[in-house]
Amino acid sequence: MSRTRLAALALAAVALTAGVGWVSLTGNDPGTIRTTSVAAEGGLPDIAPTPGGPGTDPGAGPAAPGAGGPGSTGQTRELAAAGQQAARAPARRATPAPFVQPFAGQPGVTRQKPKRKPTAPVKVAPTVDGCDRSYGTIAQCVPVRFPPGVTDKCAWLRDHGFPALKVTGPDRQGLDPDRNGSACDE
Amino acid sequence: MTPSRPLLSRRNRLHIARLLVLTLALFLVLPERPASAGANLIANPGLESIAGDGFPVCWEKSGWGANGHTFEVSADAHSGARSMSVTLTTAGQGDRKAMMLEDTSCAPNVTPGHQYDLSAWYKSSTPNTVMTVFRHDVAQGWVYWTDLASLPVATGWTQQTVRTPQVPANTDQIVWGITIYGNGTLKTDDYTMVDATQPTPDDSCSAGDKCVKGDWQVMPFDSAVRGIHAVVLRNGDVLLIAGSGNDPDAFAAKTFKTAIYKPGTGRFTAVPTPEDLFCAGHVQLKDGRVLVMGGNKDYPAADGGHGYKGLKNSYIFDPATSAYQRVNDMTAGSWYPSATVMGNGDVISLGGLGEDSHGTVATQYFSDAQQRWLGLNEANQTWNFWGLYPSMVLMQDGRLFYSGSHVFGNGTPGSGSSIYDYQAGTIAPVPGLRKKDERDQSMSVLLPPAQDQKVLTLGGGNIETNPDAHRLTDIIDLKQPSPAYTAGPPIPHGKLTGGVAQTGDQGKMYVSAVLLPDGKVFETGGALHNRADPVFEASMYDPATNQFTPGMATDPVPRGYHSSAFLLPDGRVMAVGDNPGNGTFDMRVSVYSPPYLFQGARPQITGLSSANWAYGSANTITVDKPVLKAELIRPAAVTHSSDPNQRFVDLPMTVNGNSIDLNLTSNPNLAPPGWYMLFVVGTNGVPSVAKWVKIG
Ligand SMILES: [Cu+2]
Repeated sequence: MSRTRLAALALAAVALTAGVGWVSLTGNDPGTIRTTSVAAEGGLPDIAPTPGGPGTDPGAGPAAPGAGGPGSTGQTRELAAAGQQAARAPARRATPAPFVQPFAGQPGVTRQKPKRKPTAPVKVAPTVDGCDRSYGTIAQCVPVRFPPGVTDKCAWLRDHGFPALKVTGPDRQGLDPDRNGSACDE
Repeated sequence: MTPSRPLLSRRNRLHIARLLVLTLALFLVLPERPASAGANLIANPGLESIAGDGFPVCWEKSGWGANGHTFEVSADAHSGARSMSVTLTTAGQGDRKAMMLEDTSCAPNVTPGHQYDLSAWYKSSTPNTVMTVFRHDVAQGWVYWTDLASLPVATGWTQQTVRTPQVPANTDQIVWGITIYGNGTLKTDDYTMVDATQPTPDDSCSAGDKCVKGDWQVMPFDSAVRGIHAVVLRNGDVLLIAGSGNDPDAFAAKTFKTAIYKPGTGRFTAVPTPEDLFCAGHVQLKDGRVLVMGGNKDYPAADGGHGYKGLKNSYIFDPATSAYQRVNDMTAGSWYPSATVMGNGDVISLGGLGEDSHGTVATQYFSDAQQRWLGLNEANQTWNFWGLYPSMVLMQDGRLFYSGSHVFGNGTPGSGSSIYDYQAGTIAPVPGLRKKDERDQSMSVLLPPAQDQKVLTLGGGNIETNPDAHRLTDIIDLKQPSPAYTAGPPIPHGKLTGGVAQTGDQGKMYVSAVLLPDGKVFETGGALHNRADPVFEASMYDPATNQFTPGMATDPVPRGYHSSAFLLPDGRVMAVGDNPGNGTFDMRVSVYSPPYLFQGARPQITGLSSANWAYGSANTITVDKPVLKAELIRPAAVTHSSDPNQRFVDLPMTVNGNSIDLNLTSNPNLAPPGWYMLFVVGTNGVPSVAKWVKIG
């Protein structure tokens, strides 16, 4: 801020406050009137932004390449966007290219490259959900492993609202000592 | 008014004139004075003093990357004799900016919790500019803080003013400048920085416990369907998808269910459901329709011959028609697939189980432009198995952060967390996640605001080894050159069935974490073991302080396996589902009113210039009272403690009384295209009800 500008501001302030002072009947102290910057801005060209909206084509901006389509990179889209904005109507606010920060470069970290397409399936155990399919219905879930400290599994199951369970496979957890096909039924 | 009062006397006018002359004299005599109400905190704001290096005192040439550029002191000034001019001729990589010196004598001092109006006059021939702020952390030194606003192209001198968010704790100084990253010339002059902190009204809260704990209500009706998948729609309704709902009998009968829940009326509307969408993935597309992918092709065989099988089917649910429409099949079966929307509106899905119940290793790519799943060879493949519901969070540069949060499985490879670069086809490990093999049904959230690029991962267990779920939280700052998880505060202890207090390392899996409009994270629900032992506990995590406030009101309904909690557009949190090992399903719906809803009147968004916002644009709203901040929150699409698209995007404000311009980031990766809930938060900390805004 230069003194010249301050002088201009002050003059504007004088003009404004004087006007206000003369018209106003409330007698404001001119020292507290805070309209100087507004007064100074009054004569400047107004290039206020038009708020984004339907006028801005959402599909044409750099948002389309955005995070990069299957083949683009972050760097090229900025250039593309810079070119696009020049073609826009001057009255419209041009959409800036995405401003992307150079974070998380992970220097020195070895990156795993694409693997070969596997010929054998990646095996996932049928018990992936942690349920022992030997007991009860598929909707029920006798845990393949009971929580730490559980000594009486049937008591635990009863406490957790399990009814007597049909044994549908090998009795891995020993819940059917009488081998009648029904677990925890004693 | 006193119309009879006479005009000012001659003596009065003389008195005023004398004051005016004195004012003018003071303006001319005193050095550097701001034009606005508060003191200008910038050193050499008009750039008139030149240092020995020929650049203005307290300013430096800054920037990075290979780009042709020149810095100049220009005679084309807004006022005085000088401005700073930066020209980029071969933009592409990086940026340039004239910055305030990171120096104790030049950098403005700030107070944590305060807000500042930053303003500069500028001319720019390129729209590729942004106001960038760094902060001096008393522990870390100078660090990047945030980007505030893009500046429109301007041929004549134009003023841009933006209010900072509240200054973070441990910050004593900031510096800022205007960055140029496109070809063109940017001239700046007459910088100001003024404390714009607004007084906090001391409204007293008279709602007792609710003032600090909030309040749960269990709805007097049950959910119409098993709420396993929940998606908040762009009209504020909630899509609840059950499919067969983990009920093999329903599967056998082909009874597949979906319902639309209207929070305003408590009504449910049934939606015909074409396939068993139980165990599907889902995400909102940029037009607000919901892409649903995969699901349950079959339950495990009773003899253990095979496990769950994944569907290849994919559908789009349209809130306008309340109907599913089929799109082309995915390239592979997908039972428990991830779904992340990218900055261009495309969707990447990873992991899950295939049609043969083995691991799906394909990267599945949905093109928004083509409205179809690309073929295997059309998408970049790494042939990596990501496990089930891997939490893949979109980073600000378009890469995906695998947080290590997942569902099922025992023994994730490597460090359990990584950064996946779809473009390059590479995966780079990220260190530091503790108990990486006990992160089953933990939850990860991108913390508010998204601009901070921090992810919090909470709790988790292991359904195979079935230990007590733990209470560890780990936090990662993805702004760091080499991001690594660091230990966060432990989840507060809760109570188990019967009121037994948790002890030691006991925590929770099946946990829900919900981003709230006041910028905090509400943590609720969960259980201690595989589909057993609900934990009654809720807490409030504040990213600004990295602390949990324990002892929030707890949901009276157990919320373990197949439960979710999510934000409603009215600022409340809804919770559904619980599917314990005994095979039952809890149909109750509970709704939480956070403490802010008891702390005073809500600000109203009384006007919105447009509901369609372009990236890098300023969008005008009107409000009925002073506002502390504004943000966009992406509506939930959550299942199994997994909603990697959940995000809170800060909207730096340009405040003109009750009219506020909200500055949206230029970077779609920070706010992927789509419908968002726009909230403002009053100076009393109370958020508005959301207005819906479409981005991109
Ligand atoms: Cu499930």
